[in-house]
Amino acid sequence: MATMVAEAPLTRPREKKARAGRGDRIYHILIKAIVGMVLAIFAGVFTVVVIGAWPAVKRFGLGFLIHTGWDPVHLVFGALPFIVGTILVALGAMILAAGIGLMTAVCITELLPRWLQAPVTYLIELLAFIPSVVYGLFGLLVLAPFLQDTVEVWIMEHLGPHFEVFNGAPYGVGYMSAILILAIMLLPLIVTLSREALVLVPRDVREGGYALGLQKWDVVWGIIVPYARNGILGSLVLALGRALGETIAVAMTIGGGYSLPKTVMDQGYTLASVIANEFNEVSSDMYLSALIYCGLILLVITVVVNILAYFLIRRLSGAHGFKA
Amino acid sequence: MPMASKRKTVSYTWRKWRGALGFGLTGVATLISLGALFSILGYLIHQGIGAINWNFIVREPAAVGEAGGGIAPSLLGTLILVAISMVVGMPLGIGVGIYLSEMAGDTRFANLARVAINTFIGVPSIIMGIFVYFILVKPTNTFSAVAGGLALGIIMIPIIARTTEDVLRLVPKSIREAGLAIGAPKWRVTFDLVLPAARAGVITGGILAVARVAGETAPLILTALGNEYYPTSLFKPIDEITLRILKYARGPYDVWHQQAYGAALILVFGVAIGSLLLRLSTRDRDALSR
Repeated sequence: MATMVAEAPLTRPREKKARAGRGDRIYHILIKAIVGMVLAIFAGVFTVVVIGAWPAVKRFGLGFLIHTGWDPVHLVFGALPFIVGTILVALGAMILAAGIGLMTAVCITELLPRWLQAPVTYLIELLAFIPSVVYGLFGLLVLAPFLQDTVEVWIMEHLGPHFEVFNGAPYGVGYMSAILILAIMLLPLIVTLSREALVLVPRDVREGGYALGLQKWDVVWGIIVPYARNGILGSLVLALGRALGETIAVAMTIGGGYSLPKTVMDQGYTLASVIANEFNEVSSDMYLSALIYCGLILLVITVVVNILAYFLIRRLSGAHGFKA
Repeated sequence: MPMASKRKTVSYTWRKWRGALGFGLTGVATLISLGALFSILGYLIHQGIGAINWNFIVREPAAVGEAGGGIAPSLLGTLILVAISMVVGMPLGIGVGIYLSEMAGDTRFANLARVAINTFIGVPSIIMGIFVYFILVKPTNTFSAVAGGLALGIIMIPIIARTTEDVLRLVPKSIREAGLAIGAPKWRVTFDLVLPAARAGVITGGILAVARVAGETAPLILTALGNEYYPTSLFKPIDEITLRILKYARGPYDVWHQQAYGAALILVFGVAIGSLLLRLSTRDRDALSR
């Protein structure tokens, strides 16, 4: 800025330049103040979460991460079941959503006629606009009772005696409901981003495959999908970040529980959902602090995942930012 | 695939069948995706439409478990919270977007800001709730509309910043150069030329962000809390539509469940209109980039 102001006198009348210089100075100061403020808020979020969690961090240390037990009366807290819950729910939902989402994206770009592609894409994007509390509502009042009466009873009777992971009681709400609801929520993210990656595959690559006499499916599955793998991977990492942090839909469908899950039908908590469900029940400062400690763990996990995603996609796309 | 690599030659028939099977599976996957959408929307409309009538929109909630009553305070509260969040999120988000597109270039600080923005988009919204709880709710000793709006506003900032940067970058350099060439100062170029040229895109970003925060529940549990009455003060707890849905969904009464569907239908409808506007204005943006 300083150089701009200094150069100005050579080319412009004195008075006018002074006014323009002042306007630009204010403009620069204003915008930089905003940027500073936003970065300060971001830094503040980290600081506040660390300070809020500090009493619990001091009392339980890193053992908090590997201990089981959640007793607000005797103030004994360990977040292992929630960490395990977060990972299991996120992974389960990711496996379902990645498989179905990628297949759907392939279907849209390779199988559907051109006139159907846009409407189907738009419909699936609509899923992304349904707020998570509505997914929670559907999961709690429709999906969970449905699973309880049908699928879970069948699993308990037929698979339960043979496999320990299926040997649970059909509560309805629990890991299975939460995973299914979360998978539906991740679908639009994976479908739209993978579709974009598939569309960007150059024509030559495709035609090269056909020129070798390959069948359409072999071109799609053997050439186009591998070619678009970077974009697809990016969409998966973004979805993973979303899955780890999803709060209210999981809180409404996972049922709530403080022990490690043994079966797919057990009830439990994830790091985010335990905060949402227990926050208004907090009875002591240490209890609150333990919940914030859960938030801190969640924050660290999601920030790491997102930074990895940012650099991954940036490196792959070679452009600033990326679209979600 | 393993079949193919084991055998030196793959029969034509097998390849054809494999293709049919593969594409069949993708078709099934698409039907599952669309089925999920239609079953959720269909169920919502089926259950919710009966709950929606004039009283539902203009009345306060009835006594616990009784039929009748409405969600007017929640709707009003939602509007107030979204308005507060826009006051916080719009200027800060657009300001950061302007900085990243018009001033920063590729400096190290700008890249740091970009990483921060993209990281913060992925931070779970409940974390913002924790932040506002400690800086506003605890010191003032009360949950409040201001706290809820602030939490939503902070969630908006990175979303708006990123879309603003993206659309400002789409404005051709020649427009900026033309402005500077006739001696306009930089701030006039930004506010009178670049921003108006990217108006549609900036509005799109705004709608996207509003649609996103209008459906947020988790941070509001820690900040706005919710109640049963019309909002009387910005410094008292305030109700919001997703908090209402959450409460009614978890309640034991069928009336509540039906009203939860009704409220959810109104919310989804509102957000869908937003998405439609978004779609129309994105078309403009595509035209601009060409």
